[in-house]
Amino acid sequence: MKDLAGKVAVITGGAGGIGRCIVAELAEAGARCVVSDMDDEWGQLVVAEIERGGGEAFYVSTDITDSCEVSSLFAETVRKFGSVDIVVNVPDIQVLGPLHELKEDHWDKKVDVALHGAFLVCTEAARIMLSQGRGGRIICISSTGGFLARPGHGPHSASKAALNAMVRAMALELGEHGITVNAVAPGGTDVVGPSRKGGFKPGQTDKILEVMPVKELVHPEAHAHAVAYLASERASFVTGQVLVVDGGFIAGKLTVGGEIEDTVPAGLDSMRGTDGGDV
Amino acid sequence: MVHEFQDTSVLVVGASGLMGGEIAAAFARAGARVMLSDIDGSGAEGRVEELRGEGCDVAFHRADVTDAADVHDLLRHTLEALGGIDVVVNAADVRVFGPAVDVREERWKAKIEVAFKPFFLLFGGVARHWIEEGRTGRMISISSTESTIPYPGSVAESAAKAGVDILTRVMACELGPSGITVNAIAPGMTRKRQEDPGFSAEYIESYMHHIPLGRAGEEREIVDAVFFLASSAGSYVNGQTLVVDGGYSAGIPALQVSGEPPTQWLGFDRDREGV
Repeated sequence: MKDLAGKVAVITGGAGGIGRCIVAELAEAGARCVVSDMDDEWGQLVVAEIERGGGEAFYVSTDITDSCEVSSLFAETVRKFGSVDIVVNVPDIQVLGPLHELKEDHWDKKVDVALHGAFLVCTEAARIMLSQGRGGRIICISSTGGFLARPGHGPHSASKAALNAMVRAMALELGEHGITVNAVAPGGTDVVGPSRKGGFKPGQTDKILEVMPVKELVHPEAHAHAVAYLASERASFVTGQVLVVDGGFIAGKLTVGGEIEDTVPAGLDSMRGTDGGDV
Repeated sequence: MVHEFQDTSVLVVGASGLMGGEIAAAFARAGARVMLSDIDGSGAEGRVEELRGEGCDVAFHRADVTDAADVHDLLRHTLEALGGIDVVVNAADVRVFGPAVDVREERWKAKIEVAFKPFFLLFGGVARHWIEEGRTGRMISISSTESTIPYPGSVAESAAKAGVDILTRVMACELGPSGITVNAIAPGMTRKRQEDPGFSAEYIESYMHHIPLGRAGEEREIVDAVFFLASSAGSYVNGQTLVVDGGYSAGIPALQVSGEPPTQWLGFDRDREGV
């Protein structure tokens, strides 16, 4: 199933927990991958892994908050692989804290990476795809935080809600050129970053599972599957969407309501036909 | 005459702008003590003169809402001048429209800064003050319909206002336990915006096409929504963006299905309808 054969994919944040799963999946589908990150050691390891599997990839160290570095990432991609067909923007940093107690430089850093960086990567990608004139796929990794407000998640929610809106607006602008713009919104995912930081602390996992309809943390591979779908021909009519992959985390409030009792209109038997004792 | 906001102190940032100015003036005329603030005094200062002439209790203090020191000064000055703050309205904004591939990085960043920073600089500062003093109050931001309904060229506006909506909800979660409500208003087309030469006739006309009520809103109708959220009637509304747009965001009225309905309408056999 090499449905991305001949395609060139650029994955920013490709060395991180979710990023490297995306690189692996796109490479498996036949795409030549450009891995971009700021963690050179892990970036090289991800490339080496792809090459061991017979795929083609190279690494570019990029600070996506710097427009010059973003331009040279794409220039190098075109120079080595000839085109840019798929761009996946993953980078993020964790900044948590109540808004009225937050330090301004922490806020700035978060918005810079999660939102401004995405803007620079996606718009540069769009300009290149427009000049190539044969469409393309732009995919951002967002978060359920863009939909769900939680105390302490202000910087994260603001960045991701804005990112989702950017994705939708860009989809409107680029649709006629055959460029689709979508996002994947992970939630409840246990990922360990390249520096082996991140991931849930003991105790946190139990709390998350309590509110997750699917009683299991989401594997980072699940997001890679979603990205691969959006990058493929099968998704050519999907644009401006945020595909939530969260085990049902934001579908509603699971812990509200208590025990559910069957409520049946008078004169009718129990709803649970075969389970009712007198059947 | 009933003064709805007698003994209420209101701080309005972005008061030189269209919406901010209208809101500040309306609060002042409804009996509130109002501090108008803006990065640019040109609009607000004239309004202060006009309102003082009417006997309103108003003042102006210049501040850049994206600058921590400025906001600190503004709050200190406002507390001195008004004796407290009960309602804070964030109407600061910069106009950035254009397709994503053409929007300059600095403009994009300026838009996002003005939209996001008031939440932790201004609202954060006011919240800390309220919590320390054991007071409560209302925080209201101006969002826009672009936060949920983008169009080509709205990329910066949509991203910024989507952030405003979710920050409103996050802060409502964080400050609710302290008795503080945080809400937003999303105005659609208003009469003065319709007449604003900054918007092309083509833009205005196409926008008008999508309003079920078929007319632009009056500024007063936006102000009334702000008043609702600031008044006792709005005391249990928290974390919401109240859309006041004549139905613009409800759907696409321009896409009418016309003509005779087909006989097999959604699987319903018309011939049997009369039986």
